[in-house]
Amino acid sequence: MIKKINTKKNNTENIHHSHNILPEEPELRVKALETLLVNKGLVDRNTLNELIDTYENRIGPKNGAKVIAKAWVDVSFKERLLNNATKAIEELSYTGRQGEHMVVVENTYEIHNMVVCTLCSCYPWPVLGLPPSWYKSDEYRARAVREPRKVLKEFGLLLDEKIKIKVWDSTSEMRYLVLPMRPKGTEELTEEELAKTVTRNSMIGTGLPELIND
Amino acid sequence: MTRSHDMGGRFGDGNIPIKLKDGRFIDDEPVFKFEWHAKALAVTLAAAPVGKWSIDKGRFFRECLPPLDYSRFSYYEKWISALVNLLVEKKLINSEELKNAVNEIQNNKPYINQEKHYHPDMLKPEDVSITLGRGGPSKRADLKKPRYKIGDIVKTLNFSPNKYKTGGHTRLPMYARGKQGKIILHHQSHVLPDKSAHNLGDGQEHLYTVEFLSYELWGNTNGNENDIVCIDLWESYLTNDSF
Repeated sequence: MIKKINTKKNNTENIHHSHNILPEEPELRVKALETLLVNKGLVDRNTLNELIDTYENRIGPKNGAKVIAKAWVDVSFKERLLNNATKAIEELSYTGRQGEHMVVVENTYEIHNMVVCTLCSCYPWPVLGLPPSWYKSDEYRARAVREPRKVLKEFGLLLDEKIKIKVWDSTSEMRYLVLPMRPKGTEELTEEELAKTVTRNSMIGTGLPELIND
Repeated sequence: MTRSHDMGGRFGDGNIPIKLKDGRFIDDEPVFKFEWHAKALAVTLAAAPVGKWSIDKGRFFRECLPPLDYSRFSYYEKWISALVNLLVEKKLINSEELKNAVNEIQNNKPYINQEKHYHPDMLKPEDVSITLGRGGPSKRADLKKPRYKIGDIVKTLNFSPNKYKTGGHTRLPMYARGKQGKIILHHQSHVLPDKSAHNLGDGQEHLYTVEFLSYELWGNTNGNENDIVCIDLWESYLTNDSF
C-alpha cells in the first residue's frame, strides 16, 4: 500500500521533468514540438505565422508612445487614462492579451515610477509589445526592487536623491505603464512628433523621453 | 519555502544586460533574436486554447522546472520546456511521440500526417487577432465585501499563502513576506492564482496594491529610504490582526 502511494507521487513530480525527453538544443526542442503538434492537428502552421507576424510587426512600443503623446496634449484623455487606464487605452484599440487590466502611473517632479516583474516577466503587451531581453533577465528581476537607483544608473539615468522612486512589482494581472513627464521645449511639437520622443524605456521607467536631434 | 523563480532582492546577479553608447542606452534588439524564439512564443500561444490551462497554471509549470534548469534556461527555453510538461500532463502528447518526433527531425524525415484530423479547439489563423484582442480578463464578480480599504495598514503573511497545495503557486514574493505596508489601490475581485494554478477554480478575492517602504523591506543599507515598492496582493495574503 505504502509503495503504491510513493509510485504515484513520483509520477506527479516527474511531470515537471518531461521536457528532458527532448534534446538540449533549444532549436531542435522547438522544432520537434512544433512538428508533433502540427501533425497531431493541435496547432496550425498558418496560425503560428500569424502570431509571429502580429508581435513582430503590429504590436509594439509605438502603441504605447501614442497613448503617452495623447495624454500630453489632451487633458481630458489624461484624466481618463489615470482614472481607468484599461478603458482609456481601449479608445485607441490597444486591448487584450497581457493588457486586460491596465494601470497608468504618472511621473512627477517628486516621484519616478519603474516597473518590474520579479516572479516572471509580466509586461503590458498591447501597448509595449513583447518585453526586451533585459526586462526578462535575472539581473533586472532580482535587483530592480532592492537597488532601483543602481539599476537606473546602469541605464544612464541619474535621479536626484529627493525624487522618490516607486517600483511596481507586477505580481497580479494588473499591468503597469509609466506616463513620463513631457520633455521641456516641446511646446511646438505635434502629437505625432511627441510620440517619437517616447522611448520604450521611458514607459517602463528605466529611461526618459528623448528629443531627436536633427 | 519558495522556488527558483522568486528572485526579487536576490544577491549575486551582475549588471543589467544592456548596451550603452556614450552613456546612452541603445535600443536595437529585434523582437525575436532567433527564429526559434518566435516559434517558441507562437507554439505556446497557439497551444493554449487546446490545452485550456489557466495563465496561473502555465506560470506554475515554468516555476516547477527543476531549479538547475530554471536557472540555466533562457526565457523561451523555459516556455517551451514548460509547454512540453503541460501537454504531457494534459495527455495531449506522450513521451513516445516526442521521441519519434525528435528521431524524424534528426534523420531529416519529418513525418507528415496526410489524414490528419484537427482538434476542435485548434486556434485558426483567422481567429488569432480576435483571440489576442479579447485576452483573458482575471476580474470577477465580488463574492464578499472587501476586508480592507485604501489607506489601511496591513501585514503580509510570513509563509507561503497557498494553503491548498504544499509548494503550490502563489504571487506573494519571498522578499515581501511578514512585512508591513499600506493599501494604495483596490482592484476589486480577481482570480486567485493560488487556486487557479491547481485546477481549483477561480476562488476570486479582493486584490489590492500595497506599498512598502524600501526601509521595511531591506533595512537602510540599500539606497534611498524614501523609495517604495508597490506589490499587488490578494486579500488572503494580508492580515491586520496585530494592529
